Amino acid sequence: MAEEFQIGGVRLRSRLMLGTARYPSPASLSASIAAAKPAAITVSLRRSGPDGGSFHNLLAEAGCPLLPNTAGCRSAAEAVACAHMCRELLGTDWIKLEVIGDDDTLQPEPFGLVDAARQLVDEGFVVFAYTTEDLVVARRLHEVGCAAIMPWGSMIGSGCGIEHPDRLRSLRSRLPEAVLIVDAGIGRPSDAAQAMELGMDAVLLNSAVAGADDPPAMAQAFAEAVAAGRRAWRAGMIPRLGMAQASTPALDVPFWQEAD
Amino acid sequence: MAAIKVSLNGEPTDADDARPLAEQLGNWGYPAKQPLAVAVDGRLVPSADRDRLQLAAGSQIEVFSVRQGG
Repeated sequence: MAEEFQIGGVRLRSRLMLGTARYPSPASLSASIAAAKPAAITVSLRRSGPDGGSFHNLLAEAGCPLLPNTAGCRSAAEAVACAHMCRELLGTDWIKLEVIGDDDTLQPEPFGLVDAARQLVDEGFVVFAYTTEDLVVARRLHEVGCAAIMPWGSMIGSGCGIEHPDRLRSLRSRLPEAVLIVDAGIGRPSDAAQAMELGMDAVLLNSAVAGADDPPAMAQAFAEAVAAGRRAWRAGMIPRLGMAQASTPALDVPFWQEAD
Repeated sequence: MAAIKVSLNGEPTDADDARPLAEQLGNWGYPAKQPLAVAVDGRLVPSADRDRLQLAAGSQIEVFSVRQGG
């Protein structure tokens, strides 16, 4: 039976979420969305001149849920105000909450993050909180009612993959009820598969597809990797061993007498 | 009716203190159907209120639309 995946009461068609920034062209973005069949696509809010809203039309044609972010916000107050704007503009309660604490690493500011998350959950938002792999911060985000906790694999846009798999494993183990989505640093499909093999519920990525030579083909590769990683997690993987263990049974080996 | 100076997305701009925000947006070139979120002096103005809100001299208007994001 097919496995269901829901967030905030919405049934999602996959476990891959896709960012919409930095594609070589709108056509490339549309083709990548079509290839990835993502559960949701992320967008941002920016000051705007009169431009007719062409990107809005592209999103409408994409036909999948929108997850607006608060990228660039540096305090709880800014992030909450941005979330209000997003809800007004897009008519969704979903918000990918980012409160940035350091401009070089784009590391989250955990105190403002938890504060903003609490306010937004109280206002009925479905909060996806971008954070690090810090267990205590993740637990606080879970306690205040975030719909999804989004630990980074590594720094945003770095393509460095999963730098601390042990920490993600710990998050999965300690927060078994939480929805965990690796949000940043994914560079290759194998990184996405690894995240899913670690028991993450989904993966969100952008640069790895947008910056590929062939974004739609890479989007397809990521979709397959995420599905394979999830299937592997559910199937139960063998433990890693420090010694060889023959896969062919040793009994009745030919010529064993000569070997002696 | 009087001409006033306001700030639109950080730039000094002319406005009319007798016209509601919705009309001002049209005067500034925003198509009526363009999906926008508008904040005045840092506070969101719900779209339903744009027909009523009148600007004061020095108002800071920020107009947002959806853009690509990760």
